Parts: sequence; C-alpha cells; structure tokens
Amino acid sequence: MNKRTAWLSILGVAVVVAVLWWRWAPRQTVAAQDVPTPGAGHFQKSNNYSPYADRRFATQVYWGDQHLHTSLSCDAGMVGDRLGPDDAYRFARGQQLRSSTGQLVQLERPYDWLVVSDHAEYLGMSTALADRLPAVVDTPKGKHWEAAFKKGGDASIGAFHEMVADLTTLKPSLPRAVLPKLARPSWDLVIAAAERNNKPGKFTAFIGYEWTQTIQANNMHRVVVFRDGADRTKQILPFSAFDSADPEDLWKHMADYEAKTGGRVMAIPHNSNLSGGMMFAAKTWKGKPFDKQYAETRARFERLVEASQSKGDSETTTLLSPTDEFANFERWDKANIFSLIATTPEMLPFNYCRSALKLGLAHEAKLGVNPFKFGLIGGTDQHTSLSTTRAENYFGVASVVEPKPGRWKLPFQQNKENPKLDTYNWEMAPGGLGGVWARENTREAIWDAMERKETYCTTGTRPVVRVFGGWDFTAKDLGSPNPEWVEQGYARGVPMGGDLTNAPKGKAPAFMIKALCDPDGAFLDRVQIIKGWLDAKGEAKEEVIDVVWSGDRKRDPKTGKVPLVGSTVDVKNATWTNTIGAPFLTGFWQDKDFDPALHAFYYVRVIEIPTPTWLCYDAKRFGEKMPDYVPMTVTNRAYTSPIWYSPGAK
Amino acid sequence: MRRQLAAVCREPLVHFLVIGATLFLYWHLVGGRLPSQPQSIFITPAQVERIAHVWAKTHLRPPTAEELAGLVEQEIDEEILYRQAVALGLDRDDLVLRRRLATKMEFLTDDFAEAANPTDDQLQAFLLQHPEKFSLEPLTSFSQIYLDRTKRGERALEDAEKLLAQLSGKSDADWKTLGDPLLVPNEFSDATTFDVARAFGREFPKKLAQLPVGRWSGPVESGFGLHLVLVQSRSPGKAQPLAHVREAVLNEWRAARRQELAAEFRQQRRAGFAVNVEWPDWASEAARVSGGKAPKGAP
Repeated sequence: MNKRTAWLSILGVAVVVAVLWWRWAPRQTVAAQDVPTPGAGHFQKSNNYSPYADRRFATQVYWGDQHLHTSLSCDAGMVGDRLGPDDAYRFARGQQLRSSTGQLVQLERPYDWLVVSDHAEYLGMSTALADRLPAVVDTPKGKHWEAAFKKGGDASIGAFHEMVADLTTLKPSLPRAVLPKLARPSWDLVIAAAERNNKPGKFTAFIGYEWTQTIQANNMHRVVVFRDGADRTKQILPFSAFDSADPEDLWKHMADYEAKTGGRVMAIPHNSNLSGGMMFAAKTWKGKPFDKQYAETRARFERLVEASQSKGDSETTTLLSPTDEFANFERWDKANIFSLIATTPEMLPFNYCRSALKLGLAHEAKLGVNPFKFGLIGGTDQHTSLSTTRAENYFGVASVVEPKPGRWKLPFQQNKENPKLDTYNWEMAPGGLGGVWARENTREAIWDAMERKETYCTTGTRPVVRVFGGWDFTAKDLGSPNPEWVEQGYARGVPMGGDLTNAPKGKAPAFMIKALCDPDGAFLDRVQIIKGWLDAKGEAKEEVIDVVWSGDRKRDPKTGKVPLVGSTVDVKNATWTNTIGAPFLTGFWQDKDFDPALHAFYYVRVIEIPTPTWLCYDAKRFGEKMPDYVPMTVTNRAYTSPIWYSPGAK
Repeated sequence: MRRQLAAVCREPLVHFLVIGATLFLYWHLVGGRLPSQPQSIFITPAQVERIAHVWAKTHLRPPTAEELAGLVEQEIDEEILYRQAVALGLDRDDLVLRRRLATKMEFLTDDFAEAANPTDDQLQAFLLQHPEKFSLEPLTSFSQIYLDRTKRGERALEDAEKLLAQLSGKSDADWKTLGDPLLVPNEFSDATTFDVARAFGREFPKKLAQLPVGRWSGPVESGFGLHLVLVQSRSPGKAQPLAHVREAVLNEWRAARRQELAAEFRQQRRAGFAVNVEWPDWASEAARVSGGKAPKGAP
C-alpha cells in the first residue's frame, strides 16, 4: 500500500485502541477499609429531596470495654487467669463461662464490642511458659519463671512481681533479642482471636494492646486500638514500654503504622489518677515544654481518655473541685500505681481529666492547638478475661480476688516504708464502660465514632445519654419526638465530642440533653453540665450546673445547690428500690455567662440514685462484717465527651 | 585357572574397584572417629535479604549496618546450635518441636479437600440434619407506649388501663402522641431477643413473648415503668431454605467433612504401624475406654 494508506491505517488503529482503553481499562477500586474516616464535618446538610437519603448520623449507642486483660498478659497469666481472648469474647457476647476459679459467670446483658488489650511487655508470657517456648525458657530468667509458673501459688506470684518490677525500671530480665520471638506468636494469637470473634453487624472485636510504661510506678499507660483487621495489624508488633518509655515514640510507631499500612490506630490513656502528676504534665517526656507539633501529634493520636476504671475514677477530686459535691468518688489519691510514691497536692491538676481539659484550653491559647482535647470513655482493666462491671456480678480485678469470703480485705499494693500508701481490694471499683454512638456495629463505624469522640464514660452501668449543643436550639426543640429530635440535633448542632465555633452575634451555646436510666439498673438523680473555660486573665475556671433532676426538689437559693436525692439502699439485704429518682430526664440549658472571646468546653454528667456496692453484696453473701470505712453504697454516673467552643477558625 | 585370575588382577577396572572398596571400608570404620572436618555454613545474599526484611517489618525501618551484622551473627549461631542439637538428638525430646513437626506433616500429607464441591442434595441433607444452626432467630415487630410511674404516681396503672381501652376501641388512633416520652423507639421492626433486652432490660423479652398478636395489650412492666404493647408480628425461629443460607451451610458442611477426612487419614496413617500401649495400673479406666489391653492384675 502507499504511504498515505499506511499512515491512515496507523491512525485508525490508534483511535480504536484509545477507545477500547477508555472503555475497558481497569479502574481503581475502593475497598471498605480504604474509605477514610469522616472528618469533623461528618454530617453534611444535603440537597436531597428525600429526607432519609444520605443519613449518616449515629442511631444507637453501642456498649463495650476497651480495656480488658486475658491470660496473655504477663501479670494476669501469672496470678491465675486461665482464660484466653476467645473466652473473653465469648463472655462479652453473653455466654455463660467458668471463671479461672471454676465459678459459673455470665454477663447481665451482652456487650456490643470489646478490646482485648493485653500488655505488650512480655505478651503471652504465661502461654509461652506453659508451652515451654524455647526462646524464653532457655534463658536463665525464663527457666526460673517457668519453674515458678509450674509451681503456682506464691512462687508464681513472686515471678509476677519480678515481671512487674521490670516494668517499673523498663529493663527486661529477658535478653532483648528474645522479646520479639515472644511477641510474634503472641501477637498472632491476639489477632487470630479477634478475627474469629469479629462479627460485623452483631459484635465487634477490636485488635489492640496496652503500652504499659510504669517507670517509678507512675502510670503512663495507654491502650492502643486499631481500626483494622489482620492484614494490616499483622505487619507490625505491638510497641512495648521496653522499646521506649517516651509516649512520643509510641505515637511515632503509630504514625509509621498508618503510613505503611494505610490503617488507623489510636491510643487511650488511663489511670491518670495514679500517674504522679505525669500524665497531663506541662512538659514532654523529654522534659521540654510543649510546642505546636507536639500538641498536634498528641491531639491526633489520643482522641479519648479512659476516665473511670477499677483503680479509681479520674474525672476530678475534691481538692481541685471543692464545690462539686460529687467530686469525691472512687478516689485513689494516696499514691501512684504501685504505692511507691505518694501523690502530693501539686500533682493533682495533672492527674485528673477535668483539670486536664482546662489545661488543654490554656495550651491552646499559647500554641494554637489543644493537646488535651480528648473525649471520655470507660473501661475495666480487669485481669480475669471477664469484664464484669455490675456490683452484683463483680468478679474482681484479678483471678486471686474472684468472689470468695475475705476478698475485700486482701491487699492490692503495699509500701513497706510507708504503709499509709497501701491500697486494698475493698478500694477497687467494678470498672467503667464505654457507650459509643455509632451508625452500625462494625469495627469501622465504632472506631470512627471513637475518633470523633462521640462517646461517653460510665462507671459500670448502662444509662443512655445524648446531648446536642448548638446556637439556635430552644427548650421547645427538646420536646420533639425522637427521630426528629436527633435529626435536628445533628443538622443544627453538634453531638458530644463536637466543636462549636464562630459564635453568631448575640448567641450563646444551648444544650439539649436526654438521659435514660439503665433498664436493669437504678433511676437517675440528676443531669448536670460541667463547664470549663479560660477567663480573660488566662486562668482556667470550672462550674457545675444542675440542669434537671428528679422529683420536686428545689434549688437552694443561697447555695444554688439541688439537695441530694436520698437513698433507698437496704445495706443489710443489699437491695434498693427505684422509688426515688426518675427513669428519664430531659433538660435544656443555655450558657447565660457566655463570652464569645473565651475558649470553653461543656460536658454532661448524669448521676444515678444510690445503689449497693459490690462489697455490700459480698457482705450479704458471705455473711461478713466490714469496718465502717468500707463503702456500702455508690452513686453511679456517666460523663460524656465535651463539646468545645473556640472563638474562631484561625 | 591361575592364569585367568592373574589376568583379572591385571585389569585396571579391577584395581579401581579394589582400591575404591578399600577406601570405603577404611572410611566406614575410621571415619566417625576422625576429628570432624569443619562443616560449612553458607549464608547466601538471599538469606541476608530475608533477615533484613523480617527485621524491617517489625521495626518499620531497615536495620543499620551494625544491626544487620549482629543479626547475621545470630543467624549463624542459631544454625550451629541447631545442627549440634539435631546431632545430639535433642529434637526427639522437645515437646514443642514434636508438635510443630507433627502439625507440619499433617498439613503436607492430609489433603482436606478445601475445594470440595458438594451437590445441592448433600447440602440440603446437611441442612435438615442441623436445623438449629441455620434457623432464623425469633423476631418480633411491635409498637409500645410508655407510662412514667414517677410522673403519674398512684394513677399510673389506672391511666394505663384507660389508655388500653381507648386504643382497643379505635383502629388507628394517633397512638404515637399518647403516653410519656422515653429515649427508646416506639416502634421495633423484626427485633431479636438481644435488641429487645438491650432496649428494655433483661426480663422484657420473656414478657413480650407472652403477649397476644394483633391488638394492644398490657400494661407490661420494664425497668422504666409501664408499657402498652401492640405486637404486630412474631416469627418463631424458623428453618430457612437452602438458597438463603447456602454459604453458611457450605462452610459447616466443609468443616464437618474436614473432620471426617481427618479421621480417615488418621486410620490410614496408623496402617503402617503396629501400636502397643502398656497402661499403668492406675489408668485401667482409660485403658478400658481406649479398648486396649488391660494391665496385669486389673479386673
């Protein structure tokens, strides 16, 4: 053919190829786990005609414990926990189990999700000793621990103390080269159990671990929770305190994980009350003052703080909140976690969540970023593989204190030089729970809800609490029937964990709150809002406001306080009746003292009527007489994540 | 004869064979007692690559030169120890190792037919044999009206009964505006026992199950107070057709089949061994259960 024909043919072929390519080239597909987590503006106002299309707000609260230990934790496994992660999940899903001490136990109602968060340090130690993992038992220390473990009883507890001592010095007794050989199979076990028990739509099993930095017995622990499944989490090993004592290195490991795998992960600190003033200190671990980058990193990875658990409640304390009559609740103010160093008044502002939230505002004023902008969640920290938070169903913080006569007076931590710092089992709380407002029961939906802080902490019961803050809510809005109320809440305001900013001229934040008691539990006493703010001088202030309460109690005009609700607890019989309080409270409150120039936060606290403590149930069951200082009644409560106000986007 | 033998002895091939045999004999008798020659350990570039890669996966960065040198040293030490251990027969007594090797062997030799494709008839038969695994949970659709005892006090029960009479009269009363507010939906569609318990408390599902279908009834007590309930439909846990649960049935069938095959393979493996168990006296019960020989002196 001639030149012209040749060129035309080539052109024709090129055109055909181009068309075919455009038509059938492989497009990039998106997997569910690749969908990025929604950002702050997760609820967009839509232009749809259909009001039901594009509904993306949370419709239900999902209950769970983000802090539970099984026999894979070196301490639990060494003091008698014989149950593994699978048992923990089965129990959380509502099945009846035999505890490590052979007692039958079942949850009052199943959970919706659970994080098995075993210590990264010596992860799987007791399993390794039982199976005689050569890497471990062929070392001198490993051999010694194996013998102790096999002997059980005091010998095993002695080995446990040695392991715990390693955590306070961060000098492992096993050679460093051995640690990953122990961690790898153990981490695989953790992941496999989570994958086996994760049932999207029915029950969520999160993959996680605990970074247990405890230098000098100051509690700097964080539970690390992954959004992802085996594919991504298998690519790393848990970051242990033996790897580094610096939280910034933990966050670096987390950032590397996200960059490498495309996954998401968060760290949830707990027991700030036992941190010796370190958890919310104004200096980094390296001793430097905060800078903007530090604040951003911390705010990015520590979206939540566990505010209530077995070893005391970390909301606030009387010294810091002298006018808050509910501040003296499950307080562990004597010393740090192993009763090694006494807690001094100077440490307190850095030990408590409410104070830290206030300090965060001050940091924000200086740095432009709030490093302590965390939501609140609860957990148990129980080391029995059984998450039991009800007073009548409490199986102890460790297997050695599962129900039995005399468990109340067993020592927890002792300081030989200073017995005033000793703590005892009767001081243990049953632990808290996390209520998470999410769209569905899947890892992604619940993790995303935690990430945007749409969560609240309870002290073990399951009241349902919902709050919306906005600029143009009125008391009338509170009366809308539920579906409309929720829609309007999201459309015209923000839920717990949200941000209000750019106050319209002359407007103040208004809050609508609805609180429902636990249907198997106690009625509610009152609903409060706690406001924290930075005044014009830069001083952090707080105020507790009673928004709505049960019955016809009147606010005292002199003190501004609402009288206590009373008590129906019959201590002798360990019963109470819901003849005081109310099952359902709704409240509207607007900040009359609002100053749009000042940073502030608002969170809701709901208080139940008094109920018997687990000690009261023990006393009845075992016919024990306990001294007066052992508490027989408790007023359970819930704290929501705050809604923050900041003057304007910079 | 002699001449033939001499001829044979002169053959180079024969010399070769004789010298060879002598050497082999010498080596067989003496070789073991000679000081062992240094065995060779070869670490190939691919192995170094693998060591670095595994380390990097854990630490999210490649090892430094010092670290890599140290890791290779560890690898060499491990190889030496391993060979020495095997030479001493340490692998025979190690429980963990035995289990691991046994599992590996099982994995290699037992083909559990992952890809087994049963017929629909087989699946249907399996479904009928295990109805409880594949049935739907009992589901209830209902509406509820709540009456708050703390608001109504003594009148609560009376109010409930009056309301019930009101509702029973009209067919579509505007029931959603009746009663007191509660942060619980007033309509539930196909709710499981779990859904009902989480919303109303542990005891409520049992009470709900007793209520009649198609008309308002009550009042029923929950942890919140009193409820009037209209159960619209109640589906008992019912068996599902194969088409709806094929995936689940297939998984369960395969799991059951795996167990059957595992048993078959065990039998086959045993065929090559003569097994003899001598049970001690105190284990006579276990011996009986096992069907083996009773120990001496046992009844």
